[in-house]
Amino acid sequence: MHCTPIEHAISRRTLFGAAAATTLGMGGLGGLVRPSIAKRLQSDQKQVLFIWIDGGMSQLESWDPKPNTQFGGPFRSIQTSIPGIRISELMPKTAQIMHLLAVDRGVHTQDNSHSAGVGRVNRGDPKDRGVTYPYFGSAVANLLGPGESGLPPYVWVKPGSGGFQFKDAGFLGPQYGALAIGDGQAPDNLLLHKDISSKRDDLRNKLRVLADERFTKTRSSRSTEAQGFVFDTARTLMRRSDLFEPADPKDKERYGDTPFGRDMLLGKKMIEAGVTFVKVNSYGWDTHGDNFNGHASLMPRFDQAFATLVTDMHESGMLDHVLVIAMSEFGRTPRINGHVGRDHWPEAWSIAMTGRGIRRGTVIGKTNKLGTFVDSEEHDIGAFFHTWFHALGIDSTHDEYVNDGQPLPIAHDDMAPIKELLA
Amino acid sequence: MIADLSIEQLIEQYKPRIKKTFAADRQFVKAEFTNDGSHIVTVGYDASVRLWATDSDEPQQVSLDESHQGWVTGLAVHSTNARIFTSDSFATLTCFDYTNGTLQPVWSNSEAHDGWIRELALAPDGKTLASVSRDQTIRTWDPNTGNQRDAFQGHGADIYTVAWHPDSTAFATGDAKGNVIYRDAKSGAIKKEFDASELFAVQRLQDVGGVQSLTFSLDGNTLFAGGCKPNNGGNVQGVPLVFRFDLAGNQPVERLELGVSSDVYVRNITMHPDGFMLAVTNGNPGIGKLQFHRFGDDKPFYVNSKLLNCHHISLHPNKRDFAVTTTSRGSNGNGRPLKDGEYVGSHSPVHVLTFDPPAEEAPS
Repeated sequence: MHCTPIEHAISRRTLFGAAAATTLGMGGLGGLVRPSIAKRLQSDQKQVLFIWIDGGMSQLESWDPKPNTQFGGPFRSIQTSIPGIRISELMPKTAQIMHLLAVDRGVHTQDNSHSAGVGRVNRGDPKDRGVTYPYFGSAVANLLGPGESGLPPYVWVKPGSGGFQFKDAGFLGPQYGALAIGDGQAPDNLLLHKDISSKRDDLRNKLRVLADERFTKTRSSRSTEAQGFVFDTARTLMRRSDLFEPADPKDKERYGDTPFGRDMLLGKKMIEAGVTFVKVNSYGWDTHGDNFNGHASLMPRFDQAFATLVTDMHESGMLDHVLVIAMSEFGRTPRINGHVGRDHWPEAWSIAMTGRGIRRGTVIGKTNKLGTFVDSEEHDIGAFFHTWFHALGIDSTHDEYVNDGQPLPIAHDDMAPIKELLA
Repeated sequence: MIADLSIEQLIEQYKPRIKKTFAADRQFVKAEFTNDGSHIVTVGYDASVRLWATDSDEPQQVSLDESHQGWVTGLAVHSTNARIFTSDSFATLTCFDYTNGTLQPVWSNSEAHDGWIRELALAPDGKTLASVSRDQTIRTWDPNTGNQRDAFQGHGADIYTVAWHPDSTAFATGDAKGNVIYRDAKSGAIKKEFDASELFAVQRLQDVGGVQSLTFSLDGNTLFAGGCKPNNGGNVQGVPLVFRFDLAGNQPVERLELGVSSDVYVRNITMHPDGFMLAVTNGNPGIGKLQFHRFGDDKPFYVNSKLLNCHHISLHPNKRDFAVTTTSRGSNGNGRPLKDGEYVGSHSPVHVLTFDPPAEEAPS
């Protein structure tokens, strides 16, 4: 069933109402979807933890090893907790929790450059309709809304600087951009200035809301609503400075005393606090040179944090409502270059996932003997977007965005969910 | 003595030329001359050990062994008999005899380490074999039987390289974090520790660099450690660097930069008995350098940048010839290198070079 523009208009009003309600701590749903869908999504909270391995993790040194072949590299494969399934020896902890994961080894995407590939993959590579589609995080923030926490719906935990990244939102508008938390540090000015009492702050905020309402009576409301939305979520975040307190030393040790371990812990904390979509970013995986020594140190650090996070979320029951995805913009070439590196390879690579709506203990897709090409049905990123939306209870084959009256599919209209990955 | 020669005279005397080149359709890590120079042994990424006869213009592969697994990166040639030692990334250590021009296994140990055996070195007197591994241990072996003698620890990091002192009583090992340890071979007692940590950096989640090559001066007074000063991880870049340590002290007596950031690693160093160092670098795809450096000079007296992505250098027993293991042109790229519909890998031309001038053409 397709949504009509009228229905979208209603749902957009629902969104705006929800944004205001958030100020009162009531939560709300994002909104370019029909109210009936919104109601359905509201019935249980769904969240996403998206682990972005920037630069391109080698599938041959991780999920799809080909030891003892021309391009297989130096590392051995090891048995996992799924009988008959082996992964790289560089992931011993993940091997033990493989029964909690779903891995697709038949990923085939279209771009072999970072500049185009990152955006294309993050947007689900939809058909070109002359608009800039949102990144997955912005899409989920819009479709699922901020939840009851009132926290920013899309938080990006990353090394380096923080700030607000509105570009991810594409046509959805800046309110669905990402609040980036850099180096695990709280955003600047998180705490109320000591000279401002909470009463005074509340009064100021009421004044802001009144001013916004008056302003939007005679002008386009979109940017004002976006600003109000961000303001509200920021105020909620200000009340949660506990999220940025130092991690328990034991947790630090379990996740690994690395920037990635730190960020995975913070990412989990954000999910526990109710953030709808958390992206945790690891940089430095573009191993054109010294790929094997590079992965020999990169992979165990990924392995420790990833396996610990999935185990924790499984034990706490969080995997029942949190979709977890680990991926890059592409894999790496089977061919080994003269700098003992691997280059970019979108032809045949792997994506791992678990949690909400995902069939755990599943490995699908197959590459050929040398790992050069997919030897089963190829799955492009559009099919994964369908799969993930379905896992979150969003019918991506029917539901649409509406952008200024233009209906737009939320995922590639020629693709469909990968059923084998769905619970 | 070369100390008295001008740079022009050095170049005139030691400017090499390529005598012959050979390759398989696979990638090699090392090509090493046998002790009589009659053969070259290659090892590489396809787990093969290959024996090549060098007596013809086109070196011929005369024997192939495929019993190893993963990558074969350890290769040591006996100095007096027809035996070689090889090791792989799946932890197997093997001894071959090639007396009849065929590789015949003498002994093999499939659990010599717990993981990748990075490098092997045989003591100059031929009595002890040393292996270093990703399992952070050094092990010594009886080369005749394959029995383990000792296991030494102390690095706390993946150990990349090992070299014996010329007197065969001690060896040095270098690790992924830039530590160099010089120890007694029998007791394992540490005689010296050298800080080459400039060859290492942590970039984001990645440990970058490490000691890529070690070698002693022929008089045994000096130890050379090669690698690069890493600028970044991922696509590793860094100025190729060699430290020269005096065994009597702890600090480097010389620090040689052998190029620019795109030249990256000094992969291998060999000493020429005439008193200079031969080194090869392995940088961005298509970039590699062969360099000759006289000690005390502030720059190499010879640099050849036409040999692409050099991995190893091996001096012929005649000291006039040497082999350099390189990489094929166009080894990198993000696209699909298809040839007749098949996915094409890189390969490793081995160039045999000589200091000798070309033979004069016979008078007609």
